Amino acid sequence: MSRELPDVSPEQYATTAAAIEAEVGKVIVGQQALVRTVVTCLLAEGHALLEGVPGLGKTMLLKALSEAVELPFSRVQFTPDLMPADIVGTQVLEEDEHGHKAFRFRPGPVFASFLLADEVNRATPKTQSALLEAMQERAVTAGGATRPLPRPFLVMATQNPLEMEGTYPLPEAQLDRFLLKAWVPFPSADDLVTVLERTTGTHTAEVRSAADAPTIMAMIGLTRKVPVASHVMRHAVDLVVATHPGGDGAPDLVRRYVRFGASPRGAQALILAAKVGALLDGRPNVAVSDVREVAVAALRHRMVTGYEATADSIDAEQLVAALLDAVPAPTAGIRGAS
Amino acid sequence: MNRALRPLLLSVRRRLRVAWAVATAQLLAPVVAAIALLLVLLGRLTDLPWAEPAALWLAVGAALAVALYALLRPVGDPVVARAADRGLRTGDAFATSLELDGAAGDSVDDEFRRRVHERAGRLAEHADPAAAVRYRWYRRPTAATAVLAPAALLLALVANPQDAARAQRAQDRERIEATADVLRAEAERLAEQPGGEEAARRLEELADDLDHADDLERAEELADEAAAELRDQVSDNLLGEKAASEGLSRSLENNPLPAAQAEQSVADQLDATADALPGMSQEEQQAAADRLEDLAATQAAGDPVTADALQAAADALRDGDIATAQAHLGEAAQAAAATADDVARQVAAADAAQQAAEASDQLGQPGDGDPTAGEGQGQGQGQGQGQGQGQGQGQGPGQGQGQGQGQGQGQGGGGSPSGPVTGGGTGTSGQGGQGTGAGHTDGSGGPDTDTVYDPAHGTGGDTGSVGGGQGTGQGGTTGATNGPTNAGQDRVPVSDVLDDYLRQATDAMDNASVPPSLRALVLAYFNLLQGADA
Repeated sequence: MSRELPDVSPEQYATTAAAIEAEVGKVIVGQQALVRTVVTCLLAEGHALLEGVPGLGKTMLLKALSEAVELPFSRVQFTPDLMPADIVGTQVLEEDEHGHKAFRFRPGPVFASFLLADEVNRATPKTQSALLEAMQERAVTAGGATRPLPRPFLVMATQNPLEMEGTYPLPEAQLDRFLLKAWVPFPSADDLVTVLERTTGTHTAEVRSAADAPTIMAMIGLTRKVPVASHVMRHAVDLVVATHPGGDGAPDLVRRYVRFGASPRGAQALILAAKVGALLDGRPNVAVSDVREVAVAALRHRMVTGYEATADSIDAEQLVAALLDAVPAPTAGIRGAS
Repeated sequence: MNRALRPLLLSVRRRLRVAWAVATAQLLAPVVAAIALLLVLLGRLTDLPWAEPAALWLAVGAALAVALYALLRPVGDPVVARAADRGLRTGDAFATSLELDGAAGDSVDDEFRRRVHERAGRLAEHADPAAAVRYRWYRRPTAATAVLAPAALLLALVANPQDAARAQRAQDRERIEATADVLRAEAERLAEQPGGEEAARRLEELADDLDHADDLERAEELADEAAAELRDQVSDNLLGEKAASEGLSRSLENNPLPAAQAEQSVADQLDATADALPGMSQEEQQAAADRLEDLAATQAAGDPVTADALQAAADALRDGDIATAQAHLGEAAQAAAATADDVARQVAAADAAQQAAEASDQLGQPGDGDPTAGEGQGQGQGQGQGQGQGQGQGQGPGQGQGQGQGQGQGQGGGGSPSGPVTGGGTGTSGQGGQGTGAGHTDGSGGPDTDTVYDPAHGTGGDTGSVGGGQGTGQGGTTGATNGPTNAGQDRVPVSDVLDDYLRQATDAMDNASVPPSLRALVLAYFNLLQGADA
């Protein structure tokens, strides 16, 4: 399959990614960081978790992205009565023209390159966990057969803030499978005006194709080639270790409020996202700053907090900020030098 | 290594060393300045002569240590590259390029390796090392140093109230060392004397103790202790013992015992006489008994053990008990030898005690010196051997009536020391003091003392006649004189009179009114005479 992929240079990588972001930006106003997060997940072949109140354009974002890269898109609205089969598909008994009856697998919405799991925390944990195999293995098992999912495969799940009515917290194992988690902020007044202008008039923005599936797969392959210096790798590890209450360099906030720190997937997420960031920035190598820039998105959903954090209104962003303060970027180690 | 990086890394490494030194010096400086200030203050409040030098050396040492470590500390290429990356905000281009140089070929995509090297080289080509490593300035430490260092310097430069005390201490030290040197010289001299080893060793110990004495008071205490210890080794009857021992020796030297030789020691003569007793005639034995009895009488006061043995030998000899006489003579020989050894040891101890006492006096005396220069003056004192001159004068009888009278007159005066004179003096910077010095003179050049004028022991002199006036009859008077006339001699060997002199001196010093220091002086005098006589 790799022989069929086009050659993509780092420059083309950055250009294509910028084009995708520009196309998505046509319909998503003022959410550049959010778009960057989703594109990063796509190019790192990970999954994105978006959290925010309803109506902020999360669905529109993924739809626009699917159009920009010419990949199929499906959307599942998670509800409390949603069953796993509603996601992965089910065996149905069909009768052909000869009267022969046989079970046939009818793929669920997960068999799309882009899956929007909308309000994923409204479904029961059982249904939420149906996504686990799909997200990790990029395959589903139904009717005794394992079926691969198309590639690239990106799950973008949205969830409402937990304090809202009728929500179930996502299991830690499933949270860990999201490469990055982004917070969808409420748009500023100016952005909101622009949104209104674009959505209440007769003009509808048209998203054009900026890349196709082979190009995206080539870009995903290129992402993994980006070299990482050992001290950068070490810094990512230090950050992850410090998310554990008993880890070296863990800040007081982490020691007090975090019950479990990030798993090794957290470090993988840091490095993969940093690699995408380096390429998008036009650099052939990962810098420490790339790691630190994605630290919030990669670690905020991987630290399991206790009830004390809820009681003291300590959120994950504060914890990661404390973490970044406690684990500064590596220096030359010589006094007087920056 | 990526060649394009080499010049940049070299420059950055240099700047890193300087940056480290500058930063460390800034952080260390207030600490060093504070310690230096404390030392200087301590030096002003107490008599600590090392305070200011210690402050200076602390500052110099800290600066040198920082500079030296900055030069020698290892700064590896990865560290330099990382510093350059951070300073120039290159996104870890240099560090990554450096690392890819050493990475295995198949672990890194060649295209990316090439791109990383190219980018790093491009960035290095236009990089400014000064921008890569900027020297940091720590305001608070620098401000603290700016206050503390001048304060310490100022206090170190202005007059210190402890300077006078330090100068005094230095002079005291010199004084103590000079005294210790004198004591060592005396110890060497004593060590060469018979029985002087122990006293010499004690003086050496005293000199060593003085070297470690903290101050004059302690040094004086040590000298006093040594003097007292040495005096305890001297018998109150030393003069008597010495007179007896040396008198016996001299007597036997002048008049050997029967069957003995003059050059033999006392013990040997006694042994020789004991051996010869069986072969002596009755008269000779009686004569020997008389001689032994006389000798016993001379030893009674100073050496009763020897005296008793001699007397017992004489008694046995008179009784014709030769064997008992021989046994007692053997005892006498042993006793005389022991007494001689003991006397020599005590004489040396007394001499050493005298030296220690003098050292104590010198250490205890106030010094005199120039208040500004702090230097004293010393005087050497020498002792010489005097020369005695005898003069006889005779007066003849007058005519008709005359009276003859002879009178000898001797004059003795201290001779000028012709030997080397060594002296060292110390003085204090105090006011109104008086300089003292310790002198040492070898009076080897003085005239001989083999003979001394002694009218009582003088031989008969010339017959003098004194012309009288015209009288009615023939008259004349002849008198005998003791003087250096044509016929007589008023000078006698010292050895003949020394015992009498010593005995008289011993008797005189039994008088409690004679101060101990003068007793020591008299003892030293006789020591000198006996030494010269020997």
